[in-house]
Amino acid sequence: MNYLPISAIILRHLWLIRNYMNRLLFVFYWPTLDILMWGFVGKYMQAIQGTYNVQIIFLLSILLWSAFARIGMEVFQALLEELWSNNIVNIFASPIKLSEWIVGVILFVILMFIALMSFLILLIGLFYDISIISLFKNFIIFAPSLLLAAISIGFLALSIIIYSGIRFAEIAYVIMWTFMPFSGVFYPIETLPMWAQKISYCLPMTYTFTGMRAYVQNQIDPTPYLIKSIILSLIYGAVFLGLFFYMFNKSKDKGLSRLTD
Amino acid sequence: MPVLKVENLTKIFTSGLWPFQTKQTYTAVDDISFELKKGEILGFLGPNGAGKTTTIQMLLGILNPTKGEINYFGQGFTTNRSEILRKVTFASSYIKLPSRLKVWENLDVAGRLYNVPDPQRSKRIEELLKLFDIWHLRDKSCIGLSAGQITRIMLAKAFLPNPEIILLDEPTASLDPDVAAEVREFILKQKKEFGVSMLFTSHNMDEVTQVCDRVLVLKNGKIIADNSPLALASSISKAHVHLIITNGFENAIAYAQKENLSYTQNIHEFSFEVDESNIGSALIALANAGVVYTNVSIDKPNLQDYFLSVAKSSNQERK
Repeated sequence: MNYLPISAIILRHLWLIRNYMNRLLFVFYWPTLDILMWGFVGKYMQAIQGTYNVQIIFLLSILLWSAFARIGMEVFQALLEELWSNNIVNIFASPIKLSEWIVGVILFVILMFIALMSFLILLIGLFYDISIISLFKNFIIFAPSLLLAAISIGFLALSIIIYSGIRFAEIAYVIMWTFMPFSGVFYPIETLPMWAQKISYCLPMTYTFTGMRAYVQNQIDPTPYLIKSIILSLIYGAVFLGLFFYMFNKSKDKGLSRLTD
Repeated sequence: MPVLKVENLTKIFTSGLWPFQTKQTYTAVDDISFELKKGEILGFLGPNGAGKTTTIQMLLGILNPTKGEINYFGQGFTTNRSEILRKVTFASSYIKLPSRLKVWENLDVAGRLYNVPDPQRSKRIEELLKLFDIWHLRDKSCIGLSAGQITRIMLAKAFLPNPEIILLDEPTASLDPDVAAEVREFILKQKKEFGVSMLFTSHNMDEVTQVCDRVLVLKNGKIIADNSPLALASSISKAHVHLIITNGFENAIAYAQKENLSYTQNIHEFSFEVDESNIGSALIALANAGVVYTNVSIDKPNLQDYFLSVAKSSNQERK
């Protein structure tokens, strides 16, 4: 694996952000809005119900969900950028290997993750009477497993786009949000009907959010939850990565240049 | 040893993959074989839909062939793709660059993709930007640049890693004639000084004649001719004769109609197509018919004529 092509992919996206700040708005705007809205809802509920830690659970939930959804979207957004700018041929007719492109995208996504989460944690410190150090400590326990889940599921969306092109971009966006009701982001999955719970148990995010609530609310060790989440993410990651390689090759049967149509 | 060897390359597109749809197949490239020698510029001509772009896409690895072999430098392309593409680049007037990135950034990304390390990368980018007269655009975003400026950036990108083979798809389209001439000069210099081999497509037949050592002509996915531009042109026997007529214009038209010659006319000029061997007798016949002309010019058949004859027959076959 060569570092120069990988650096090309990272720099290509970083320079795009530097030159076109609207791109950053896409990443930061909705999470900021969510943090403000759900943080104040949590504060209000805590005030009227006196429920312990409800605000921090709400904030952590939305912080972790933002990490998952936005970062998952960044994975396929990297490909969409190439399609929108008609740059796909320049990338894949170059010596870069598909594995190098994937590593470049993942490293860029991790950079975006760090930037987005740092911003949101500072925002929480600014708007709410919460220690950002304790919030960060809680966040850092659960964030890596969600980042892994986001990247894994991002590859599912990526597989759709690499085969179907920009016409299916909307479906890719929808995929990330479809998982929200089943992931137990704001409520325990026992709240869901039985058939929906079965779906929830198959999702790595469910275990991270359940573990987070158990830890913050009742100080229960979240390790078993995190292990389950990571194992499931690795399984999905392997399957969807394999699917992406397969779809990439199938797409080349029809030609990559058609994807921009 | 050829730097590129293509054997029995075929691309069949299939549509209607869903069970309820009728399967339809379309052969875009039909069992073509050719070689590109070191330092050779090989023209790739053909009417729209002949299979040029499909072939180039397969040569760049962005489209899987249905059948056939592509070998660069004696190595199989499928198994050594990454290694080979370090030495094979392309420029096309139909492919863009990320418009939000600056010119320098775009070239820096390209240099990194082709594994060109710094400081060679920066030095080479500067050299090429100056050569293509776009150094002043280095810090400009590609958005809003003219088509000609983008074409020059694409050419700089193609030559950046000092490639051994370049696939040029209409490289001078949308360039001003003076810049196009400079680009042609640069291409010939690269060939002469560094032995760079090129596959060259263009709709400018004069350019193909000037630049290419050999021309492959594609029609309906098949190679129908493989020869030098001059040899191809000479395979067309029809010449264009232009006359400035002062008297007897109607007689000239009547003569052309009688002899079934293709002709065009404007106020004083009368042009017709005739076999090179019959030019003399045609001019005598016109004079005998009472046509008075003051000026005669004869265009010998060229590659354009050859191309038009291929395109015409291709259209007729499709109908």
